[in-house]
Amino acid sequence: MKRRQKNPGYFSKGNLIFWALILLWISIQFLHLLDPLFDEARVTEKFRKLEAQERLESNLDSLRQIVRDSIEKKQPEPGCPVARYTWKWQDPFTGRNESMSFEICESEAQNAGNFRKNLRTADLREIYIRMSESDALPLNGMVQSFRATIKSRGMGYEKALFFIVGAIQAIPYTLVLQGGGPLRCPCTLGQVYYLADCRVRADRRGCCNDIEPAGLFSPLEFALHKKGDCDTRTLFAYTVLGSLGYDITILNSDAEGHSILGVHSPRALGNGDYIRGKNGRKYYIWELTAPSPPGVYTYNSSKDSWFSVMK
Amino acid sequence: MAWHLNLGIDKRVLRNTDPAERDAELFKFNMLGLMIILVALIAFGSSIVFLLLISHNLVLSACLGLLIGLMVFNLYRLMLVTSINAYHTELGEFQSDHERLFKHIGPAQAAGLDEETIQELVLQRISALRSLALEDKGYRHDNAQMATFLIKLLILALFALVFATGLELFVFRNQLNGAFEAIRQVYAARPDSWIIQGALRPPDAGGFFLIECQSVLFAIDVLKLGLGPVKILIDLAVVGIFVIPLILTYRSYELIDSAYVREQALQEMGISYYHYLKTQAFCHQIGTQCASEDLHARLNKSTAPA
Repeated sequence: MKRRQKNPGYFSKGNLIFWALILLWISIQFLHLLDPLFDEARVTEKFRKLEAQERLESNLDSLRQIVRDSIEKKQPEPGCPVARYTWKWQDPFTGRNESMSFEICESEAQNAGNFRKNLRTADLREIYIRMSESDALPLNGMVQSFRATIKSRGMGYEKALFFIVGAIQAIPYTLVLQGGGPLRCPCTLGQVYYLADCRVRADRRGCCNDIEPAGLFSPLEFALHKKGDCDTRTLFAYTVLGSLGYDITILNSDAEGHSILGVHSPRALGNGDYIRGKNGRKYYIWELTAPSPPGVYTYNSSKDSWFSVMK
Repeated sequence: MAWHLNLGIDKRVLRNTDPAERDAELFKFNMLGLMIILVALIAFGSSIVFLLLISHNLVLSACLGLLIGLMVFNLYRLMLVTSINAYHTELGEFQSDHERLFKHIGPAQAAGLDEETIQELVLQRISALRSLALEDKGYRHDNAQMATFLIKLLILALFALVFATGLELFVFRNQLNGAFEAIRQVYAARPDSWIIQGALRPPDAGGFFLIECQSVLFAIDVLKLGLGPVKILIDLAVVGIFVIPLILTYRSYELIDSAYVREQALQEMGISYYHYLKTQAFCHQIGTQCASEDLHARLNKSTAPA
């Protein structure tokens, strides 16, 4: 058995450390008066995020209930045949080939652009709100399909968000112009030459003329034809994600002539770049016209040039 | 003060030692005794805080806290006192191995020893062992002792972590109450949430006492959030307070090879040795008697009155 040498002073040192620790504890009692150790702001921030998350979940649940109720109450007319549509895309975040089918009442699909064309207002916010509200119900089939996929794959709050945004970003860009504007297809914009071809083109050079109001397709039209530029996409995302209970807004910039999505999240997304909404909340920016991560600010103008249209 | 009495230290054991050495010994055991008192007080205070969070009743919390404090005191004392023994030294081998202790004198040599001779032999043996102990320059730990020590250390560290949290809840009670108020405001729009209803709602009978929360786990969560990594440092300080006395009883030769331990071991061995000699002498007496007398006939002899 190994024998140890008797080192003197072990007890004295241990005794000293013990009393030093007692003194340290006593000193903490006084230190705390200065509040240097306890970070109350961190606690508040954490619970604010938690509360936002819970509220979001709660909204999602109640929205599901509302949607269920609305579907039960407002079944498609017995005589209205439904048309089946399929979206196929490669998820830019996972690289996975995705496919999703949804049903839309044929008469609603045929009249998809009528409501838009009859809108008589120049207020962009009002246009967004009315189009979104008008198309929320016809898009129920699509929202239900998204929800079913999210549920079957057990996606959480953030994964579901990436899944839906990825589906939008994967669609090739089509420039949409209103009549009477400075530009008409074919034209060059931002060093890209757009053709006079109002189709979804893989080379992203499709362009549509005379789309009223504000060069904007309605969310239902986007779901059916997949044609759309920045604001058509943000409005579509606003409608679909809003139906799923996400706290989102549309962020526009006159200086950039551009529209992007703003997503409020309990946790910072991507690089954490955000624009404050009218409600004071942080909305993490998300470009929808091309595969792009959230929270990454890459625009030339300053963040101050952006404003939240909806919230 | 005689804090050493908490450890059951008997001053009379040190009567054969030098007064200066005796005073030094008592100082060490006084310190150890005081450490136990402080640890028990920490457990007492911390238990009160936890119990207040549950019951918000000071009298009930104080009574149960006292009970827990006393339990910790006794458990802690048990752990320390059982660590202070002579098994680490040469003397311990004689104490645990009686064959070795008694080998100098066999049954034949113990025959016919009278009381005076036995006492003299005991004194001689103890004196020889004392000389041996004083010359012993080292100490040792075997694997079993190490394992026992580690288990004790783990138990005390776990205790310390629990009681450290209680102390922190008390020390940071004002900050915690401020944080609870802020959380109430965050959840103001959702008064039916669990945080408001389950944790931050005042008890039905009377209000909060000390900490404005009804859930121990919620309060600990908020404390951890508020303190961040600092909590680990504060916890470690309390763990240190709890385990240092135990480490001292394991590692400090000034305790485990102290005059008190030596004299206590010698005293116990002296008693064993004395009874061994007495027993051997008595065995020899009975053996002689058996050989010279027909004990069977004696047993069969009627003892009935004539």
